[in-house]
Amino acid sequence: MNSSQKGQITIEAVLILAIFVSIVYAGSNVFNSQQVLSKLVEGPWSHISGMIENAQWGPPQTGQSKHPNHLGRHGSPYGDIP
Amino acid sequence: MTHFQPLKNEDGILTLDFIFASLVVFAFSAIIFSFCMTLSIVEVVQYVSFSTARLYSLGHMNENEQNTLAEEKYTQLTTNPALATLFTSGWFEVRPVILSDFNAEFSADPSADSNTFIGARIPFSAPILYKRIPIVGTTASDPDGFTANIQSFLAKEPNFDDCQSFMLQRAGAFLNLGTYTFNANDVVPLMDNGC
Repeated sequence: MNSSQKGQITIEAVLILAIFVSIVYAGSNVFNSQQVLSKLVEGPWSHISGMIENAQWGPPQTGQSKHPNHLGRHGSPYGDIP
Repeated sequence: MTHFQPLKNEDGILTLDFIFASLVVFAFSAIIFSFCMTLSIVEVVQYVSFSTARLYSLGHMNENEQNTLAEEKYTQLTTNPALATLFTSGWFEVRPVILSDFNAEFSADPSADSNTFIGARIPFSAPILYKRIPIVGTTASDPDGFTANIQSFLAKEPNFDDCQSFMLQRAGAFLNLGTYTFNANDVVPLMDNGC
């Protein structure tokens, strides 16, 4: 009776499953705590929204002083001064 | 006949790999698709803001008329069947256009003559970029964080009221010189094509 190995595979499967779930859970925690996906999307959005608002690469608030409308506009038959 | 050895059976490993790879590929595809759509719609809304600012800039009887024309254009474009679906699907949102003078917000140097930040601003948000992906997490800490002001500054022409008040002000300045004698109430501003 003691030498019977029936059921061993079930025990092994449960152990492997537990390890697998633990690894996935730990990995998920790392992803969430370090905000990996958030940095991938929310981080660039700050710069993209700045470009949308001010045509300047950077957060919207810092780019307002560099908006192209601040540039002096004038025409000259001589073109741009080198 | 081979003996059945379940622990050495690797038949399912490909399925497991496929499931994980599918999740990662789906997540990144969804993010790239969302960015592509967002940048495209930003261009569309940019044109709406330009068109609205163009109507706002034109001279009219008074500022209310200028506002009304611009708001009508904004409503006409955003409720157009070709565009309305974009803003009612939940992927993108635009709030009512703001027509104003934004110089105080933008001025870098108070002494500089930079009176050009007058126009239309459309508050835009892209909820499509907020995603909650299993295991990997969310794409933002704030679901409403993907916002931007889409704006066009085309300045504003003086309207009839502006011209009238300017001319009356000028008449008052003449009167204050003391050289001329006339009744200020008798002044009739005459305009030919503007101030």
